[in-house]
Formats: sequence, structure tokens, C-alpha cells
Amino acid sequence: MSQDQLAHRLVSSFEQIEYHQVKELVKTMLDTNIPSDDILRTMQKGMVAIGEKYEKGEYYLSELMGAAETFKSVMVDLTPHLSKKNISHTGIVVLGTVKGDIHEIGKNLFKTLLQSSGFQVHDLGVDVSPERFVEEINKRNPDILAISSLLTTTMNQNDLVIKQLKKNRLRNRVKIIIGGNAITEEFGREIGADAALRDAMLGANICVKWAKEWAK
Amino acid sequence: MTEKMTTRERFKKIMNFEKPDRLLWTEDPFEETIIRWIHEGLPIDQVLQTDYDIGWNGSIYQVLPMPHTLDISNYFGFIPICPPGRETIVLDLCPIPRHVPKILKETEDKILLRDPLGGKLEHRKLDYTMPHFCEFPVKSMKDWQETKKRLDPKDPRRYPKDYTREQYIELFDETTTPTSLVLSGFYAFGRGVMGTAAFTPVFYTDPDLAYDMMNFYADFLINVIREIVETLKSRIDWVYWWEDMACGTGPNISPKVFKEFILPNLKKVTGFLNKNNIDIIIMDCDGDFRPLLPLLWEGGIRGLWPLEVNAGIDAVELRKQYGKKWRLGGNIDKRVLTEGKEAIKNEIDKKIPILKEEGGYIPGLDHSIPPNVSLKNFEFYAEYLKSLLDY
Repeated sequence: MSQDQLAHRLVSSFEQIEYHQVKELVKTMLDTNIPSDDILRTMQKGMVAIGEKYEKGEYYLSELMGAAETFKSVMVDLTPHLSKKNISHTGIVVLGTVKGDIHEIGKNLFKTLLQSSGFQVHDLGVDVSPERFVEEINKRNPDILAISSLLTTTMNQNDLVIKQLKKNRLRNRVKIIIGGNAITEEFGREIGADAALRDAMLGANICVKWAKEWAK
Repeated sequence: MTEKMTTRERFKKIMNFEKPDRLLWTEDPFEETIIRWIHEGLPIDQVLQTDYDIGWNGSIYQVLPMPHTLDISNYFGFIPICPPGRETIVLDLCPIPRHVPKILKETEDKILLRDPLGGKLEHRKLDYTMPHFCEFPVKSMKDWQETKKRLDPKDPRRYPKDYTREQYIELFDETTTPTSLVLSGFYAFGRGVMGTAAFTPVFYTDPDLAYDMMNFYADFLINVIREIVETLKSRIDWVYWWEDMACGTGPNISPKVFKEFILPNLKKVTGFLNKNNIDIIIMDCDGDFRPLLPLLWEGGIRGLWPLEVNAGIDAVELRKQYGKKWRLGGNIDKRVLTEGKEAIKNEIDKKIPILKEEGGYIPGLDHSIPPNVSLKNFEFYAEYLKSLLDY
């Protein structure tokens, strides 16, 4: 089978979220010396197709997470073959769930979606204080700060993080995207976030859009 | 004043889309909220529920008053969704024997525990909030086979210690409280043993494991409940079916996954309940589950609660769209309780008169009462709501 045929099968299999089949195909492609960065690009194409199906309402969270798990698993096999110069970073993101909130499913899905689009993500985990976000921004100099919160009782922490950034004169150094079940666009505007969404996939698309604008 | 109907009679009328003398009202407060309200003046002696029970879990021959739970339902005049008491049948659906909890790590403010289900959780020492579940018992087929060894449906420890056919038939014939059987649904079970992050994609990453778990759970559930269901039959007024399988943007699992892995098993369980004249099965599910509605109906679910407004669910719209089909509960936006009187009044006025007229509806908030709600606002909400329910 030619490289093109294998790539076509990989995209098709990935679109159907055939976890084991995708892993097998990637192994075959590596064994036949297909460049690992080509395989990665094919996987990224598949992830875009999954995202489109999700946005059209054909796929749901189970499919999105199934695809994310497949991607993560393939990356474990693929990463040792990727030379550093071939790992292109779309941008750097610092990500975390706010203080007092321990929810991380949406955050972790968002992280995988960003990684599949080529972002380098520094995940601070859950229950992250405003001070810790500031510390990491100083250390990592990211393009994007992504803040997650699930609960209505913890969403005000987003405001505290942004205030802390302003206090430290860091606000204009990063784009800020906030996400979570209780988040609304109106709330995002009120606290001065650049984007506010409940949907991880839509959030990742916004980050990709920002990165494309920077690349111009 | 003499009550015209009992709570149980009212419940049955509502479930049949008939008019009771007045509507019921249900809430499900977080303990953290009640503790806040106690600090704000809620009298603790009127909400601390004490039971008379045998001391030391049966090791001494003496009946003692035991502080049982914080129950604000009588104080405010609502019915809890599943009232604490024997009329709510709670069978043990978890692994037996439990894993012995063990402290794995302790810091100044947090404790890492091996939990009774065999997972690991971290909690703050002075908090009543949900803990952080760090690890779940099932990560693979091998773990699942181990977990199954503790899921023997015939283990007598799954039943209440006071259960005998005669005693429960008498109790369920005489009670004036709606009687219920509490069950965890299929997604809730899978999520419980694997965690949401691992279980939601498992239908794709390990479909064999997903099939085995769902098929096993259907048979397990039927075999656990068989004795009480075949004994009490229609004396059980309704089944509380806990799922929580959706988020604000939609169901966690797609209709395709639901149809393939869950629907046949759900039908098995509801078919068994229906065969025993138990038809009112109400699903507890936050989030936007609407894409699953046709499949849920096909699977035997007949009611929906608590209808989360923030996820786009509108009980008035559901009633318009489906007519008198689904029994509905909740759907008063919890967020208005932090906004003040005008917002509370508007939200209630928007929904209650229409839904009261249409029937088949039990009012309440669209989620457990969160701890950012003040006692003062809840008191206003309660009084205004009751004034429209003919209390």
C-alpha cells in the first residue's frame, strides 16, 4: 500500500474512532519508514474532521474523548520518532482549573485538542491559585492563558486571576480564554477575557484562529 | 387545618397528570448550604434529624437517639426527592466487601485516602464539598474482573437489616409518603467504577470492556432488586434512576453509543420493573440530555429531573413539544437565588402557572441548592413559591 493510501486509511479509520485499527496503521506506517511528521499531520487532519462532525452534531463528547484518547495513545508511539525540529509549536498555552475547583475533564480534553493542533501546553492541574497562574506566565511567557472552572460557585475565580494579571502588568502579554459549564460570553466580557466558552472544541478552534492571525 | 390529601396521594395524582388539592414541591440541598444557613440563623434543633436506632451498629442491646442527618424539608415545607426513611428503598449496589479506607497521605489541609470503592480520593480537611477523585478501581478488563468478584447480587448484605416481606408490605401499604426505589443507572455505574474521563470514551477505546460492564450491570441490578420488586410490586410508587450523563453542551454519550451499549440493557431492567407494575421511572440527570430523549422513552424512562436551565432545558418548552408525556420536576434556575427577590419572582412567574395548569410537574430548583445561596433569599423563594402552589 502506498503512503497516500495508508494516509487515507488512517484518516478514515481515525474519523470512525477505530482505536486499535488506528494504532495498527500508525505502527505499519512507522515500519514502512513513512516520516513521523507526515503521520502526525495525517492524524491532525483526522482530528479536524472529528471536530467538524462534533460541530455538526454528528459526534458527541464520547466520540470527542474517544478521538482524543486515540490521538494521545498514538502520540506515545510517535513521539520518540519525532525529531525536535519537526515538532512545530503553534503557540504556548498555560492552562489550569481555578482555585477551589477540582474538575478537570473539560480541561484535559481541551488540552489534548490543543496539543493535536500543535500547541505546547503547560497544564498546572486543578485548584490553581491566581498567584500560581501569574508565576507560570512569568516563567513560560505563553501566548494564551486558558482558565477552566465548572461551578457557579468558583467562576468568580476567573475574575480574580485576571485582576492578579493586571496588578502584575501581565494582562496585555497573553490572550485569555475561559471555559467551563457555568461560563457565559457575557461573564467573559464583564471580567475582560478575550474568549469565554462552555465547549472545549470551540475553544480550541478559537486558539487555532488566534495562532493563524499571529502567523500572518 | 386538616389536610385533604396525603403526600402520597398528591404524588400519585401528579404522576397521572391529574389535579391534586395542591402541588408538591421538592428540593435537594447540599449539606454545605445547610451549614451556611445555620450560621445565618437557621435553627439547628429544627433541622438535625434524630433517629431511634440500635446503638453501636447492633453490638449492644439498647436503642438510642442517633443524630442522623440535616433535614430542612419539614422546616420549609417541601418533600425531599428521596425522603430519608424506609419508604425510600436503598439497596447496596456497591462492592461488598468494601475496601477498608486508609489514609495514604496527609498534609496540613488535605488527606489522600484509599476509598471504600477501591479508588483514591483527596479531600480538604474542613470541607463538605466533593472530593477530588484521583483514581478509580477499574482501569482495564483485568481490574473489572476483580471488581466483579465483589458484585455478588445474592449477597444478603445488599438488603436493609429490617427487611422482611411481611414488615415491608405492611409499611408500604400504610405509609402516606411516596415510596421509591433508588437505582444507579448504567452511565452512573460505569462512571462510578471507572471515572468520567475513562468511562466516556471506553465505548471506543475498549468496546469489549464497555459491553461486559453494561451487560453485567443489567443482570446484577435485576438480581439485586428481584426480591423487593416481586414482593412489593406497585406498592413502589416510583423508581429514582440516577444517571447524570450530560453536561451543558450535550449528552456525554452519543445516541449511537447509547443505542448500542445501554438501550438493550435499560430495556431489560425497565421491562422487569414494568412486568411488576412499576411504571414511573424518573431519571435524575443534569445537563442537556435532549438528543437522547427518544431513546430514553424507548428505554422506559418516564420522568425527568431536575432539568438544568443553564444547559438550555426549559420545562415549559418540553411540555409544549411533547404534551402530557414526560413527568417533569425542577427547572427553576438556581442562579436566580443569588440575584435577589425580583429575579426569583420573575423565574417562578415564568414557569409555575403554566406547568401547574398542565400537570405532571413537581416544582423545585434545577440542581441541589448551592452554598452561594443565602438563607434570606431561599426563605423568600420558598414563601413565594408556596403562595402559588396553594399551600
